[in-house]
Parts: sequence; C-alpha cells; structure tokens
Amino acid sequence: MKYQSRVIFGSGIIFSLIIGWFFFPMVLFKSESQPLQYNHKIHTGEQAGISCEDCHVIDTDGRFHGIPTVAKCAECHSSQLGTSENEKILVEQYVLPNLEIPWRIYSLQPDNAYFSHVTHVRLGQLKCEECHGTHGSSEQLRIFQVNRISGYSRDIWNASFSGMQNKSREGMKMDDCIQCHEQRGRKDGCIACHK
Amino acid sequence: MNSSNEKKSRYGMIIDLDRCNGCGACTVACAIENNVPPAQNKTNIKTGITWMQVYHVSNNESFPKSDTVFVPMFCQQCEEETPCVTVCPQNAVEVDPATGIVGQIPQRCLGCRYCMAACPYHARYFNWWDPQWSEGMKKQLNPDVAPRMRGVVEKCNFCQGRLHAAKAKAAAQGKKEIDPVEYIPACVESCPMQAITFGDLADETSTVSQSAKNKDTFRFLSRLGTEPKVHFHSEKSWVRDMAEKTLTRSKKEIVHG
Amino acid sequence: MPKTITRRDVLKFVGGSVLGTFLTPIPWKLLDDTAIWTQNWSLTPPLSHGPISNKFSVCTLCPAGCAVKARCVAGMPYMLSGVAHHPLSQGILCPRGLAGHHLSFHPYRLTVPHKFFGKDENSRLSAIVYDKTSKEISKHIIENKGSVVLLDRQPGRIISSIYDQFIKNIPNGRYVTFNPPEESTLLTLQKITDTSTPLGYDFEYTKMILSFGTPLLDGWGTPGRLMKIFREKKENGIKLIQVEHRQSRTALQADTWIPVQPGREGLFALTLANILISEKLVPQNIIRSINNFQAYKIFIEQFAPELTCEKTGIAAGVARKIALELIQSTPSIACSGSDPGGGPFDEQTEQIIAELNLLLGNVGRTGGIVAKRDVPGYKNPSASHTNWKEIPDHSVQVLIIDSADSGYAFPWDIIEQKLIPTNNVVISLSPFLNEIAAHADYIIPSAVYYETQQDIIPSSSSSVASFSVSFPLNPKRKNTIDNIDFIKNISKELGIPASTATFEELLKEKVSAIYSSRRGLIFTFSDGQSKRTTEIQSADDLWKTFTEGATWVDDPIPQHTLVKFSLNTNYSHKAFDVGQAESLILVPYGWRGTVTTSQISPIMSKVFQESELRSFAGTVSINPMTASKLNLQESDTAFLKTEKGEMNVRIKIDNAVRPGLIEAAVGPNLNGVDAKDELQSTTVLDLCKVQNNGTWKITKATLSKAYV
Repeated sequence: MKYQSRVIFGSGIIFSLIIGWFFFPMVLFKSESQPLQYNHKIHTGEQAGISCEDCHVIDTDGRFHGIPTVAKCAECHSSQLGTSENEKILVEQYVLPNLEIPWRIYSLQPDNAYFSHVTHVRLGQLKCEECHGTHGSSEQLRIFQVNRISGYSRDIWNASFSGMQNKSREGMKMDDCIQCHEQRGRKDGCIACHK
Repeated sequence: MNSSNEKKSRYGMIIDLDRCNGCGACTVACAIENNVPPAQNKTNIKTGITWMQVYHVSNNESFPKSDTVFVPMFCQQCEEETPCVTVCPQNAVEVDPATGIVGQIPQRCLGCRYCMAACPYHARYFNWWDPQWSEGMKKQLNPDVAPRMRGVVEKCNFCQGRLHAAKAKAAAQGKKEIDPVEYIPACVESCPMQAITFGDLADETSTVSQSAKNKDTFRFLSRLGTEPKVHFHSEKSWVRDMAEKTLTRSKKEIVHG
Repeated sequence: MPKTITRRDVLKFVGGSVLGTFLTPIPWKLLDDTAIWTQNWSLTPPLSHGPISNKFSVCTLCPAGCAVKARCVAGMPYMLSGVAHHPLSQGILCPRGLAGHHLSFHPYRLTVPHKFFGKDENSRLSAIVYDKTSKEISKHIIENKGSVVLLDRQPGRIISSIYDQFIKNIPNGRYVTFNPPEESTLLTLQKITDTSTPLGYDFEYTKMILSFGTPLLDGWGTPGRLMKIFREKKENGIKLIQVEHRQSRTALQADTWIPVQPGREGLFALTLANILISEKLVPQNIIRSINNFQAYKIFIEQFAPELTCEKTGIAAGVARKIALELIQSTPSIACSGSDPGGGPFDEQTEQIIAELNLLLGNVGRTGGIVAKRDVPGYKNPSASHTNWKEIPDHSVQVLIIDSADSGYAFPWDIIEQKLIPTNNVVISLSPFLNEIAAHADYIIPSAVYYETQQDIIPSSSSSVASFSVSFPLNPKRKNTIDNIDFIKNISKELGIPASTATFEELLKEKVSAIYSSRRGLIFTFSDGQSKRTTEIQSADDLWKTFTEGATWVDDPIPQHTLVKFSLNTNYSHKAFDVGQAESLILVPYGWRGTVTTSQISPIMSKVFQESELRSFAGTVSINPMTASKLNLQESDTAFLKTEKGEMNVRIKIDNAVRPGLIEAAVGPNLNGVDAKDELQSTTVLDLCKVQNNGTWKITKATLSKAYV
C-alpha cells in the first residue's frame, strides 16, 4: 500500500509538471501571426545582399530605428517586383495607401528599460547574430507569442521557457543584461539602463 | 559606467539667483521633458509633482524696502551620505557611480515615502494618482523617459534621458566620452536669463567647477555634510545668509507629503 | 488490482500536485509577470515608438513671433525649444510657448460648433451642426437692425484683410480693431507727430529705459529679445527704471524701482518733465523744436516735485535724481504698455509718457524710438481702421470675434457696452471655451496653434519690420473650421462675393512681395545663418525657405529727428485724484496670455496650481499690515466686494504689496486635466470698474473674512 500511495503522490507531481511545463506556456502565451510574412534570407542573402544596418538603421544621433517604416520598403517595392503573395499584400495594402505595417516586435522592451544598440554594436563590438541569432537568415517569421499577463513578447523572458540553455543571451531580462555586463567586467549604475 | 578606462563625471549646477526672474520656464520645460503629468482637479501644492519648483523668498522687509528672490529648488544630488539612499529599504535609489546623479528607479519603489521625509530639500514627490493626460497629449510624451505609475516617488535626475541620448550620439561617432554641449538638462536649456550653468564638477577646467569656487557661491544646508552638487550664486548677502537657515514656514502650505 | 479511490488518495494527489507546482515555472512566472504588468499597465500610457525628427515653426500664441524647434516622435511634437540666434526670439520661448503644442489637445478644446441657448444663468451649451450654424448666423446678419461688427484683436494679418473685405460687403458692417496695448506709446507718438510711419523701440542701442509699469521682463514684446538685453546689461550698460505701483518681476530686476501710487504714473511723468524744464536740462535744439515752449514752460510749473510728491508718493529728491539720470544717459526710451491683467492706461497718461520721449529727444534716434517700414505687401494696420473705442455704445447687433488675442485681459464689460442690449448675437471663432467664448451665442471651433498655416508680422515693439510663417506641427483636429473657411461659407450663404484663393496662395503672394522688395535678411532656423534676400534665386525658393523655417528681417532705415512739435498744456492735477486713502483699492494684475481670454496648456498647473510661483484667479495678495487690520491670515478665504459685485478670494500675505492695496490675480482659472469644470461665474475682472476712459486699473473695494 505504501508503494501505491507513493505512486499517487508522484503522479500528482507529474501532473503538475506536465501542466506547468507543457500546458501553462500554451495558456500563458497567446500566439499571433505577423501581418504578413517576410523572408530575411532573400533580402540578406546573395540575391539582394542587403546588410542588417541598411534597413535596421542606426542614425547619426545614435538612435536605433528598429523595424523599418513602410517608406523604406517602398524604396524597392514601390510596385511589385516578383510574384509572391506576400509582396502583393505589401504593395497593395501598405505601400500604395502608405500605411505602416503593424509588425509584432519580438524584442520590444518595457518603456522603463533603456537599451542602446549603438553602444553595443559600435563600442561593444557585438555582432547582430550574437543576440539575434539566425534571425537575419531566416526564411520566414516565427509565430509571435505574447504574454497574456505582462503583454510582452516571449523572447524577452526566454524563448525556451526554462532559461537553462547553454547559449548565453537567450533572454532579455535584467538578469541577462547584468550577467553579460559582469562577464565583461562592467559595473553600471541603475540609471545606465533605466529611463 | 566606471570600468577603469572610463572617465568618472560628477555633474553639477550653478544657479545665479540674481538673474532668476521667476518666469517658470524651467518648471514647465522640466515637466514636459520628464513626462510629469499635469495637475488633476484635486491636485494642490501638497500633492503636486514639480521636480523643479521655484520658491519665492522674501527679505522680510516691509514695502517698499521689500525684496524677493526666486529660488529654484530641486534634487540637490547629494554626493556623501545621501539621505534618500541611506533610508531606502528597496535599494531604489543610488548615487550613480559614473555620473554622480542620484538615480531613482520608480519601478523598484514601494511607496513608503521614507526618502521624502529624509530629504532636507523637499525635492521628492509622490504619485498620489495614476498619471493623466488628454488623449492627444499621450502621443506627445517624451519617448526617452518612462512615465511613472501611481504610488511611487520621483524626482529630478538631471534629465537622464538626455544623458542617454548624448551617450548614444557619442557612440554613433565611435566615442566613449560625450560632448558636453550634447548633454544639457531641460531647465538649463529653457532658462531665458541663462541663470543655470550645468557641467562636470570633476573636470577642473569646466565653467561649473570654476564658478563653484567663487566667494559668492554657496550651497543650501551645506552644514549637513551631504555635499550637494547644486550650487547657488548671489551677490546679495541676505540671500547667501538664507542658505544655512532652517526654513521657517511662514507659508503654511508648503509642506510636502 | 481494482480499488476504489479514497479521500486519502485524492489528498495525496493534490499534495503531490502542489509540491510539483513549485518545480514548474507557474508560481515564479506568474509572480514575475504580474510585477511586470503593474509596472506597465494601461493606467500609465505607453510611449510612442517611431522616428525622431526635428520640425521648425513659429509660435502663434501671441504676436511675438518666436521661432520654435520641435522635437517630434512619430511626427508628433513632444518637446519645444527656441531656435538659437533667432534675430527676434534669441533662442528663447516663454513658459506658455514651451507648452504650446499641448493646446491642440486641451481638455477644453471644442471640436464641433456650439450654441448657448438662453442668455441668463440657466443658459445651456449644446453642440450643433455646422451647416445649421452658418445658416442661422447668416440669417442674423441679414435681419440685423444695428450694425454687424467683426472684432480683430491682432490686426494686420492676412486673415484681417479677408475679414475687412467680407465685412465691407455687408450693410452696416464694420471691421474693428483693438490695438494691442504694447503699442500704446508708439501709436500715441504717431498721433502727436501726425505721421503714418510705423515706429519701434530700439532697445538694443539704448542706454536707459524708463518703464511705466511695462512688464518688460515678464513676457512683454518678444520675450527673448528683452531677456537677452537684460541678461547682458552689465556689458551693454543699459539701465532700467521701473515706475510701477507694485513690485512686479520687472521691478525686482530693475536697477531702480519707483513705487508710485497707483493711477499717478502720469503725474510722475509730468514731474519729470517739470524738472527737465525748470532745471534747464533739456538741450537747446530740442527746446527750439517745441512750437509752444513758452506756454509749456509756464504750464509745467504746477508739477514741481515738491507739489506732486504727496500724490505720487515719490520724494522730490528721488524724482530729481531720476530726471538727471535720464538726461545723462541718452539715448533713452520711456515706454508704457501696462500689465496684461491691469489693463491699459488712460489716453492722457499715454500722451504724457509719449511727450516725455519728445522732451528727451528720443524720437527718430538710434537707441530711442525709431521709424521703420511696413512689411512688403502689408499696410500698417493701426492707422486706417476703426478702433473699438470709436464704436457708439449700444449699437452692435451682430458681433463676430476672431480667436487671436494679444494676451491681454479683455473684460466682457468692454464688449457689452457696445452691444444692443436685447437680441444681440455674439459669434466667437474660438478653439476653446474661454472667457469671451463663454459669453458668446455661437462658438465656432477654429483651428489654430500649430494646426494651420499662419502669417506673423511680429511684435510692433521691434525696431525693424519682420515676417514669419507658422507651419503646422500637430495634425488638424477633425471638424474644426478654419477662420477663412468660415468667412467663405457665410459669404456663400449671404450671396456676397468672396475670394476663392486658398490661404497658402495668399501667403505665397506676401512672400513674393517680400522677394520683389529685395530688402532685408532671411534667417534660416536649421543652420542659424542669415543671408540677403537678394541672394535667393526666386520667389518660389523663398517660399521653400519659409516652409523649412525662416524669418525675414528688414534693414534699419535712416532716422530723422522731428523738426517741430507741440506739447499738450491742458492736464490738471485733478485728473490724478483717484482712489481715497482710507478705502482699500483693488488692482488687478496678470501674466500675458493667462488672463482668461486665452487658454494655457494643462501642464502650466506646475506654475500655478502645484507651486506658488504664480497666483491663479481668485488669489489676492495683501500687505501684512492690511491683513492684521482686517484680521486675515495666509490662505484664509475672504470676501471681496466692489460696487460691481462680490466673490470669495484666497488670501496671500506678501511684504512686497503696498499697504492698502489688494493685488488680485486675473487668471488663469484652476482646472485639472481630468475634468471639465464649469466656467467660473465671476472673475476679478467682473469686479473691476471699467472707467469711461477704458481703464480698469483702480476700483474701490472691501475685504472681509469669509466664514465658509
């Protein structure tokens, strides 16, 4: 009987683990698809050969412009170049009426966090891939997962949920920032990264 | 940022009280720059938020010998034994090692208001309500400064949003040091009489460290030994004498918290 | 091994689950996410994300013409600042201008036409349809039996000429202006010397300014220009003597403050004239140019300092010292241009001050009062039009009031006395429900403040003509109506001809007139550089320069001193017998642009409501001696009563107030960003007696403790 009671107790634990590790993330995060698909690989690869900073501009004031505006797209796609369905949507629904595309941003930080791309890229000599991985050569955009409570992207917490990866800089929370800064021997005050 | 290869700054100000004519431009520019919400109907002088508050101080002589000086009062950025840092149970305040700015992280604040009681200058303000702007004004908020929520304390931080912007601009040119002209707080920029000088006190050659040595330059309540980094200047001796007086509250409403 | 599940088994399972939960992210993640949510919940608005850009424009809140640099996020301005080295504003904006971009979204903003039903205390404000409004207004204009008047308080703009054209086509129609009080001395001088040449103050090169209550350092003229002159006064050697009954901000910064008795400014000016003549301080060449010198010499004898000192409250010795200083530091300027809340001086005082300039030889002289030219394509507005004062009392049936104001108080009494008492119709072209609009029958929500293009012929007080164009920074609010479209619409309803030109076409016309004149310099905002107008290739290029932010500044013209003039010899002591020593005197004061006819940004609460830097409406300051006599204390509520009415006020005790005076702040009313309060029924201006000469500086009053 003792054995059986352990099984029941253990299955309770297993039940929670399944709920917590499998179903909880499904409930906590809402999956949303991007308004249209975008193929980074075509743009950055040999076909077009654009670099990251051509579209994701850092201007002379050191401001990172993030996702380019539709005007940037229109520089090439003022009319349809190819035959893809997504390009047709881009031209017809956004470029011609001059509407901004409501992209969901994977790495959008809360308003009180300050992150300077230019400092990390120009002074810290970090490559885009070190933080953003293979996003620049991806063929399509991942499903965007938004936290139902905090309203932020899953990428901020950590895409893999356990936060136990070997890969560094997987998440983009304060602890991740501090960890990386400490590895590089930097000690910063609070206001260095808070606004 | 104080890794050994970087310069340590100590930002400070000199305010020429003889020039200040109490127009209020600094107060307004400060509130706009730092996304401080406008008053609500119920807000009064005790519950309002004015990071930069300009006080009238009278020489207490009778008309027509009366004289009034306008004293802009805001966080004096105490360097030593900083009272608010000492008392904060949340570590929500610290003296930034790289700049000397007393930084407040509102998200960390639990709203006990101990710091407000500790501040000798009454320079800290509490958010009694959720901030409110009209619909269109919400789109006119400064993108470099996060608005604060109800129940936290806030105060002047020498426009750290502008410091971030200046650092980013320097970084864009591959420089670690900012160009001093790029980092000017909103009150300094807006003062029509140019009564406020801002700069690095750690830099011996800067205008502020030169003027800080002037015999007519003083600091409020310097006897407390908190080494504030905001200096004042006046050629009127009654104004300078006021600096060490404990404020007698003839105006009974000016008591915060 | 079939077995029934016991209660014990369930508890074990639950126990296991609870323990297991702690091994999952559920509690930790929920805690963390909830914390993040509280930091970013919707009660704190999210920030805009978008490209940061700089736009340039010109502030239109008053006629000062200050250049504005707007930092914008996603196209919306979020921080305004001055444009460095701008020839007029010198990189400075006043507090009101710093927050000008908020006005488009002011909680009091009207975006649909409104009508007041009923004219008594129970009147009700309701939104109405625009088409219906214009039909109703046209009907009133057609049926009018008195006159139709269009009141323009900022004459000389493009829209002013459109108003003028429109009203000329209406029977009994009159275009009426109300001259900005800042110009009063200059206009009086024009009248005395019978010239149509516009005049200006050459503050930059003067040595001494004798100001009669002019708030030179508190928002007067183009603030940046004066602030620059005064902050450099040690280097440029300018001295300021402020003759004012109260210790205003300007008096505090002045080299000498002459605390004259209220209403006796003119008498003090006459005293100075007496000293100049009797002590033979006036140079011979000036004496020779006075037509009636002998008569004037005899006349002025009655104003010897010993005879006036009791009334003015200024010792004879002080007056002598000032007169001597005046004659020693030439060129000098004597100016009036009273407090924005306190209202204008009477004509007689204005004339005395203007004549003092003639006596000192200030007119037509660099560093004094200089002649200037009109802006090409514009006519000097003050000369040709009917002034509000000239309208017969109780003759106006339909009154249209333009939205622009000069930032100065404008008591409703002044309007009311010209209206036909019954069946009058007042139409206010106003974006806000403000003091004047609250008295109107129809309120047409005009689009202003960085929403439309506007021409600016900056402050008349400047020493040379200049011109700027204000371009929109904010998107135009839906359903608001441009003043030009309102006029076009009414013209159509009435079947009278109206120009079909758009506002931009009219602006371009003015710009090409400037281009053809080949005069002056163009200052561009983006680089802070000036170049000759002649260096620009074409009128179209000049227009393009304006769209990117520019100001045109005329060249100074050669000055000629006046050949001959006469001085008035019919003032008497009696005219200065105002107020009695034993009663309290109510003197209103205010800050330009906040004296209830204009709106200010809600953020201005930092200066009024959330600090004691400036006083809001309903605050009165009294001397401690007055207070102890009346048994009043700081922050008490008191009852203020004049022959015109009564109201509750808040007491502020201030050493700097003259005993026996009640200094009353005219505006603004306190209103938070969250709710629309009812407009205050009585303001201090309603309590002030508007005299026959158009002043409301002094009113007898009583003050007693209110028990509420």
